[in-house]
Amino acid sequence: MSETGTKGEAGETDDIYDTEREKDTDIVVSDLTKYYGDVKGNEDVSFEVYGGEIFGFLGPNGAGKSTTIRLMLGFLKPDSGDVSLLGHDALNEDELVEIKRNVGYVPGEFSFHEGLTGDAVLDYFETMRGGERREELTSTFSPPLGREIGEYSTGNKQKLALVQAFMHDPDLVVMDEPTRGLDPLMQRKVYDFLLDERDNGTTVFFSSHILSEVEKIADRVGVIRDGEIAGVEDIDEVISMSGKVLEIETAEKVETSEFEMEGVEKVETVEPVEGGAGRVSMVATGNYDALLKSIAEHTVIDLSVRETTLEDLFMHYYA
Amino acid sequence: MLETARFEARRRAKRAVAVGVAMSGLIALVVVMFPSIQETEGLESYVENLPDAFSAAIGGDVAFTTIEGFLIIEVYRMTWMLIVGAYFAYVSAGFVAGEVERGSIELTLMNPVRRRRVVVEKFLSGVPDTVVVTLLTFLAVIATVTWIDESINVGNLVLLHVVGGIYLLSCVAFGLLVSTVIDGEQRAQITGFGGIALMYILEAVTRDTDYEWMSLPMIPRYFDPNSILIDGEVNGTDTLVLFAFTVAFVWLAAVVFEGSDIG
Repeated sequence: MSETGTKGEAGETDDIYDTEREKDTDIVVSDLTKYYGDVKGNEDVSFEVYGGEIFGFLGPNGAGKSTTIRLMLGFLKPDSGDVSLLGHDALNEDELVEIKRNVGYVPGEFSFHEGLTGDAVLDYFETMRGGERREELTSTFSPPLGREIGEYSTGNKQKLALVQAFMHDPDLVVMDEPTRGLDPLMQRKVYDFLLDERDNGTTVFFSSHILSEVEKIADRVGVIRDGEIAGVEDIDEVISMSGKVLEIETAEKVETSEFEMEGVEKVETVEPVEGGAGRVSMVATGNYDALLKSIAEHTVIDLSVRETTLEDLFMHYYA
Repeated sequence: MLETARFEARRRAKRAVAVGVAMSGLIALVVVMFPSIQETEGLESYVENLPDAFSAAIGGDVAFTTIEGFLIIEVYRMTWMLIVGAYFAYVSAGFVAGEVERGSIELTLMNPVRRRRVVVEKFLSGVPDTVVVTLLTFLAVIATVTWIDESINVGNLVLLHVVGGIYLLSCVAFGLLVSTVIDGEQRAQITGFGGIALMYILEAVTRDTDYEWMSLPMIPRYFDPNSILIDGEVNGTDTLVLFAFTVAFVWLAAVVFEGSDIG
């Protein structure tokens, strides 16, 4: 817990500018509601994102993450509610123009005129928004700039999307599932890059449906489900809720009370599947040694251990 | 200034030139046929005996065997007003609908510009296309008419191409409006093309009938190649109406686009 606490302080030691920005609230979303006919997109979505933090917007596919992002950036018009970005009213077209000078965006699916080369696309964006960091970023992510983007793989499109989002050195970057289509090595590179950007004072808002990804880089997390905010938590809180999901099956009967100890939660009996007499599932966040010793008192015929997923989080905490 | 307009125009520059060259080639082929058509026995009486609506559709009361009449029917009405006009509406109908369908509109709109400005610049990006086609076809007409030893009033021809260019711009503007109203690139383009073709036909069949009022909102009503090419007379009011159509369509497209949901 204390580890994640220092993440937020890193920027404060740099210079006054960063310290001041951290006091700002770069995104204020209040009571945002959007229906597509009878279909709910977002309902009463509210959250705030502070200057200089990484905010993870976590939810399963179809939960309304992209809808929120599109409402924030003015692609969709909300039925009701307010959005303020970098202190400006984002629902006002003129103010939105000013906002965009200082905001970068990585869309859910990068799409631009397929017949153009990566360089031609960046040239155009540079004339529109500036590109003081273009060279640095193209060498960091190295998309194949001379090729037509119609020939790009998903990963290369994503690299180009990242370059265009950051090349005008924005204060706020909004990303819709930024690591989609990237190989694990490249994902790691993106995480490190985002952490560095955050440390240099950039505010990062990104959506994801992968809990472990959010845990790796976010300072705070907004959880969305069925178009509504289920909770906004510090990352420590989310980490304490997650952990390892253990399931054991034993030859003899087993009681849930045997595993009630610190660091072990949500102990539940489930139907045996391997022919044993008892089966228990639990979420362990620590105290592994004591837990394993309790387990060892039984004849274990099946054992599974996995990281908690977003679904577990919903099942156990936001049910 | 106008970065988006320039970017879009450059992106389509090759195609614009290709279309201009193709149209010029087509016109050259048609004009070269003129001497043999002129000599065909009975063609003129055949044209004169066509049903009124049909002869109106191909150009109205002009002599098919004079070079001016031939050009009006074959080049300026059938090709320019109908096919080129509908083609320009077809292309511009993809301007917004296509970007929305592909999703590229999101990155376009992340530029620090208002949506209505994007619409206006999209329209402006269509201006070079019309200029290229207008110029190239002008040269093609002059060259081929000279080649078959005919002559034509160059001043009138210049006027015709200037007003014809304005006509094409209003077709571009019409397509752009369609582009913001109809979802899906293909549907929008078919609607744009069909819209101009339908206007052309409706205007032609109601001309000089009791139903002429029906063509009041139709673009082709306000461009009359006959009087310009034969008499050198440009109807100022009609030309202003073409301008007004253009401005109104672009303005409406901007209003629709500012208020619409994307994605």
